[in-house]
Amino acid sequence: MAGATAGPGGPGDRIEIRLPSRADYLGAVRSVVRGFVEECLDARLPEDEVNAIQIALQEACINVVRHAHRGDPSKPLVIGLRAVPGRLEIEVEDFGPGLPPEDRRPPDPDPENPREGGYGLFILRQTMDEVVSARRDGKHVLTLVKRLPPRGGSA
Amino acid sequence: MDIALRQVGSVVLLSFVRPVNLEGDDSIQFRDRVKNLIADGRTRLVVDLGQVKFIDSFGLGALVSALRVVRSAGGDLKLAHVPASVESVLRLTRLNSVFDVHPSMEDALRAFQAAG
Repeated sequence: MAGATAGPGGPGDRIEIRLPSRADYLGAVRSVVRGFVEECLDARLPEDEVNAIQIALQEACINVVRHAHRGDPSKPLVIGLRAVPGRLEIEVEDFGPGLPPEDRRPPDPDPENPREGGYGLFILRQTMDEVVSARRDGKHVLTLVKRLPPRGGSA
Repeated sequence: MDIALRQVGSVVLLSFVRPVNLEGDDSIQFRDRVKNLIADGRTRLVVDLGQVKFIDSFGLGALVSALRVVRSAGGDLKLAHVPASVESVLRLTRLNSVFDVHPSMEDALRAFQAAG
């Protein structure tokens, strides 16, 4: 019998994916997260929202692989997923220094002068409702939050 | 990454043979392929993105890099057959106004021919 606010997964259950820091595995990670979003949330998200979550996750993970762990696959990349009523929380843990401070981040994309890089953080901020960079237990944790529509509804 | 090339007049049409993810190092392969074409003097390009299942910031960077090279050589790179998931990332990053996007290869080809 389901609890009063529980989805198919209990509220707050954390699902964890742990993998070597290799870009080759990120496609599989995206598939797992898509599966979680499709199977474990109270509300069904529209396809463009699912895509947005996947691209945000990709940018967070590729940032770890390329920058935080500098291509060292022995450092684990850990992704935690948790759905609580009204929110999907994705935590990406790494052993790097965290995001650069605001004043050292790339400027927003300018169509008049398109750049070849620097889109990752912008994509994160545009696709997710909250992006929080923090240190916890000697690790850097990037928390991505997507607010979810009310139970049974669709956005 | 297998890319098929077809030349129609002075325009080269590029398409991915199989479904691909334009991410990470794979996107570098694509960019280098385009740069080789440009070095070869072929600067009117259409890229069919119909087989692209996923694109990340590296894939976007490769497209922009290819575009900059081709435009500085006096040519253009047009996109065709852009899947909804790729189109939404182009919109998100404001690159939809940077690229000349067409529904099909034929439309993109006609746009080149109309430009003379």
